[in-house]
Amino acid sequence: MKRLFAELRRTSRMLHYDFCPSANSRVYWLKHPLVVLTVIALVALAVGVLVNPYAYILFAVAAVVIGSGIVWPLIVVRGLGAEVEMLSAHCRVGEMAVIRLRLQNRWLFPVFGLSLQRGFLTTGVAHDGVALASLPPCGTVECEWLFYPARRGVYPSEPPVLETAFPFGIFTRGTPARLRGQLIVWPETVPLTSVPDACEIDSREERVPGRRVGEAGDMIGTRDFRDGDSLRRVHWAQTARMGRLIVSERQAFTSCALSVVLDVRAESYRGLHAESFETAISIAASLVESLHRQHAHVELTAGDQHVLIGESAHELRNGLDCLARLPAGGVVGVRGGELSSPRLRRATFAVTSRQAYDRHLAQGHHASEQQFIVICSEEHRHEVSTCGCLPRFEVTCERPLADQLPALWTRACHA
Amino acid sequence: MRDAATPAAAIVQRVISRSADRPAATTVPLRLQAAMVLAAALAVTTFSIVAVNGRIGAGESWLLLWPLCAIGAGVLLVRGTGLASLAADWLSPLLLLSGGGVIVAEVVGWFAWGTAQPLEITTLAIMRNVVVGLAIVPSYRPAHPICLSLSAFLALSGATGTDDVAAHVCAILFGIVAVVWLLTWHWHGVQQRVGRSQSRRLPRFVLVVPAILGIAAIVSLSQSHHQMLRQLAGFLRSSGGTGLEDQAARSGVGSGEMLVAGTNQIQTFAPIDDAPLAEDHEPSLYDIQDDTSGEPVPPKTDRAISLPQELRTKIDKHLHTVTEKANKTFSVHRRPAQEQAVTPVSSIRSKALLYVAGRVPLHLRLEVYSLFDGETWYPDDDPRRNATLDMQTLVGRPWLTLQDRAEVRDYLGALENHAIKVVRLDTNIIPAPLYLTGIHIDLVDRLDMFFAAPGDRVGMNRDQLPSLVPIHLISRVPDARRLSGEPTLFAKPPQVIPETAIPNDLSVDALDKLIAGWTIGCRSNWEKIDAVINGFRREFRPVAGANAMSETEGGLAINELLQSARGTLSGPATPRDATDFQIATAAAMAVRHMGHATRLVSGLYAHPARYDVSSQHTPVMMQDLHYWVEVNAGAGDWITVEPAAGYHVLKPRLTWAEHCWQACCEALAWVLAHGWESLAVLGCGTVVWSLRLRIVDVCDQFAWRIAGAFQRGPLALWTVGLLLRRASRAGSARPPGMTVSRWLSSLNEVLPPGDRSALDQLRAAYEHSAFSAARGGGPLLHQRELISLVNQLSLAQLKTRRPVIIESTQPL
Repeated sequence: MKRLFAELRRTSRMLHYDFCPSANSRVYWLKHPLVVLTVIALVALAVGVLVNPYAYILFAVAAVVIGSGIVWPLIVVRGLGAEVEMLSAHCRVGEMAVIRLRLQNRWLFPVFGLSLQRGFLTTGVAHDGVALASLPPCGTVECEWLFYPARRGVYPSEPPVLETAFPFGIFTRGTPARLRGQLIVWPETVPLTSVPDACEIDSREERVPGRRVGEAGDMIGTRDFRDGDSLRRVHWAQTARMGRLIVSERQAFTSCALSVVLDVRAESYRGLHAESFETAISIAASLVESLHRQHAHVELTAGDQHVLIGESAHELRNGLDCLARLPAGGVVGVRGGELSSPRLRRATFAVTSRQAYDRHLAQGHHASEQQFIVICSEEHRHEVSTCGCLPRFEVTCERPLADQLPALWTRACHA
Repeated sequence: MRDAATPAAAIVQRVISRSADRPAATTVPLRLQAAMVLAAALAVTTFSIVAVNGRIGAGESWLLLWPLCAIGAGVLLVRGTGLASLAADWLSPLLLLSGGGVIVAEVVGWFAWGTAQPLEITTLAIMRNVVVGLAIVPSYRPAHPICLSLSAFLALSGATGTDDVAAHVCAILFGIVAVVWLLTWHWHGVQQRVGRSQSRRLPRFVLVVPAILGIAAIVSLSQSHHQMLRQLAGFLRSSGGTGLEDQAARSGVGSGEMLVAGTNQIQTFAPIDDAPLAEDHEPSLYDIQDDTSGEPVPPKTDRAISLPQELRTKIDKHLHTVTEKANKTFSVHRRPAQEQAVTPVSSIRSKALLYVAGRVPLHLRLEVYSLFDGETWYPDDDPRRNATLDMQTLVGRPWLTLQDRAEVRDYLGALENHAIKVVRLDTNIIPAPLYLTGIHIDLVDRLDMFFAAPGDRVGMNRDQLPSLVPIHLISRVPDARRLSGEPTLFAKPPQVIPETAIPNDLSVDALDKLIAGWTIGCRSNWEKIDAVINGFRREFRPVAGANAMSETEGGLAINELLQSARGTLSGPATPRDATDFQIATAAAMAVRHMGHATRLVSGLYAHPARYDVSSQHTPVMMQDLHYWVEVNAGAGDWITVEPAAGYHVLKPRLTWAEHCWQACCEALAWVLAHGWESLAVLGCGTVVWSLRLRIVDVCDQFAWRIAGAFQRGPLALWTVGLLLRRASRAGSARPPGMTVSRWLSSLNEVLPPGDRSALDQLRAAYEHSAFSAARGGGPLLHQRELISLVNQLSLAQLKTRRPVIIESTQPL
């Protein structure tokens, strides 16, 4: 039986083989139900005229369906109004975001089968988006839509439209919705626990965070004396004023300071897995977020954008916003972002693709000391470059990022 | 922080699975599955009915049932074994096998047994098998659209390939189910995105759409004999039934009257002329041999016309069935010759004497009587009155022509075309209307086949007219409206002729009384004749079926009839029953008593009530034997008059102007007949007219409210436009040269001081909207205040308190 089904599957695959995929876009309109119905109506009309008048009945049925299917949406949308308000400004991929919809029906009759389309379609699935079964006559409905974005980005990606194809779904007509605010969906991140070893840390004086308490930098506050505190830190003036020992607090050094460079050039990811650029963004976001959590000072470079991320959550938000706003597939014709930039130092992690990495090696990589996280396919993994160099580690798109990045990162930090 | 991290492709899956309150995307609801299976079953049944082609037998029953059994068994098997989840793997090979199997079977049948199906049937059989294959996996979503599309074409074939009502009903039911499927399919897509807090049920009222469609379709089917529906049929050249005749027409299409050979072994066909040719016991007009050659024709032998060579060669292929009734049956399903012998086609019989194509009512004259002795009418047998016949070829067709009196008679209307097809009529006189000008029988181009009979009649030199042969007639219809304007018409003949003779025992006093009573106020002879005829129509009612001529009681009955008539213009409440023979005889005697020549005519009356719109023919039955009267108009011209109520004389075709005039007259008559209703309509119209300005103003304000609600354009402009129009209706339009702002200021005079701020705001907003380049901004207008302002500046207010217009000599 298994063999039979295997043969059937093979035959089915052969029957469904697409011999001319380039022609699909040109003939796809033939599959539209309106076209099919029109063909049926025309054939029925021709048959009625030329052969048998009973076919007029079928023609009439098809004509009524086509007519009502086109006219009704045309009429209905003229009385509709919609407003989309983003109650959440940020969220992550897969997390819930609340969107408030205000839908208005100015007609004296109820309206059925409404859909908010465009701007929120992320998966390409036909039933993506949100729909309302009905709108009462002469009324406004306010509802909250729990939106689960499947991709990072800025939503809505295009002006949303309130559409209806009721009753037959053969013709869709919509009215643009007014927009209030936008939703930035940050890229998916993977929690990382390690920090690069001390040799990788660049802890210079200027790398002091603003809030964390330490032994360096400026004085940021005072507190009561605790056992173990150095007497050199006693704030004598405050001690005299308060009548008890008061010590001063100073800033602390960052645990590490490093740069994360994301290769945003679209040509770097051309020919690779469709999600390779998104994987690179996820790696960069994971690095930025994890290092920030571990009080590292991170400089994020994505194309011509440079974001300094220190202790502040606001700075982290800016960094993630920067990554979320990157166009899907990469930036075409970007200036900057080259991996051999003089800005790159040794404590730099560059996230790029295998082919960009190879190209970088061919352009004289000895001048730079950055470490590379390379996105590659499964078959090209651990492929030695022409000069024999290996990247810091490689990530494939075929496997979930959570299964590979934590271990690879930990190993890279302590290697 | 998040507990897991995956690339986007995996995230999508996770997000979908997280939406626990949403149904799975691939789940097809049961009602959608049921609609698909039902639609497919109806479609394949429709095709099966076409394929069976009206034959009932074990094989045909199996042909009807196996697709349904296959669908049912397939659905159960697939659901029971869980194969539906693997449909993507095995469905395409199955469809290939089922569709290709038809081609293989066809090829094998052709080479092994010599049997073959027509190409269209083979194509539809492939389609049928694919539909069956798709219908067994209703839970497989991608199968739905293609299954319904192919089913639609199968159902269409049912409406095309047969006249079987069952197929049409199935096709209509398929249409309804397909509409339901379309609705459900779309709503299912909407349901995927509808939250649980909302009702996901398909609005009930939408089901009204397929219901209405179904009712309309059933009504259409029941009314499918409607003339409009039929007249649209047949842009193809046909055998003449549609008026577009062609020698190269497809056999049987159009049910025409041409000599179209039933070639290609068709089973049934239209009433073609040579159907009863070879083996029918009835004498045929056509023969393979020409009777003009060879031995002289015996006197008692019917004359025959030889067929053209191309038709002779096809005779052997004909099925010798008789189609007496106009019929549209034409099979697209063809069987080999061996099978045809097994399934003979029954003849189509009719009880009609003849069929008439053309405008009705029509009086078809068969016998003309001139002399009445009080008991018996004697036919006109004066050979001097016979018409002159001639044979001419017009547009390639032989026509027997008679003198056309329209050249000298103005009251004769345009030419009228009729065609008759005699089924059974034991006479050799061609039933034809008065003023016959031409007769055409296909291929009959010999003058000696016809003869002229007294009373402007034409007969054929045969014992009886050929059956089922279309005979085309061209005649003219007298226009009765022109008769009264001709003073020279209906002159009284100077000497006594048979057509003016009145029996001695006829009650002359009664005739005088009747004529005097009925002809009050009539001036011309025709008006008097018409009044007398109308008097008979009012006084007497013909008894259905009692139209036989009575030779013994005719005189007595007519005297009684004349004495029983009241002779008034109003007529009795209940007309008295009489036979149409008696009525016609009495009318003829009355007109003769007025001094005009009349004759009694017996013949057939093509009744409009019998008109069959499906065949566009009017059957003439035995009950349509009828008597009527012809009145001499002078110089040998006769006018048909109809004294029997319920019978009508064919009138000339109306021109458009006459149609309009007639419509006006009928409308006026309706108004007079429905006094109260007319008064009510008049009253309503008066009220509407008097309130027209107010009605228009209310509509205008309603449009303004709608525009405001829809926010189409600046509200200030709409409002000012409304006020300007309202002022114009109130008779205080804005003077030319005055700016709108100034005019608005003048309206302050009609407003209370407390309400003037709204008008000032409106003026400011108007100026901003009209003249400011910047979009948006400007004074804020509140719709409530605007509505209040517009209500205060109502039409009545502007009428009663016209605003003071500030006239200015300075340029504004």
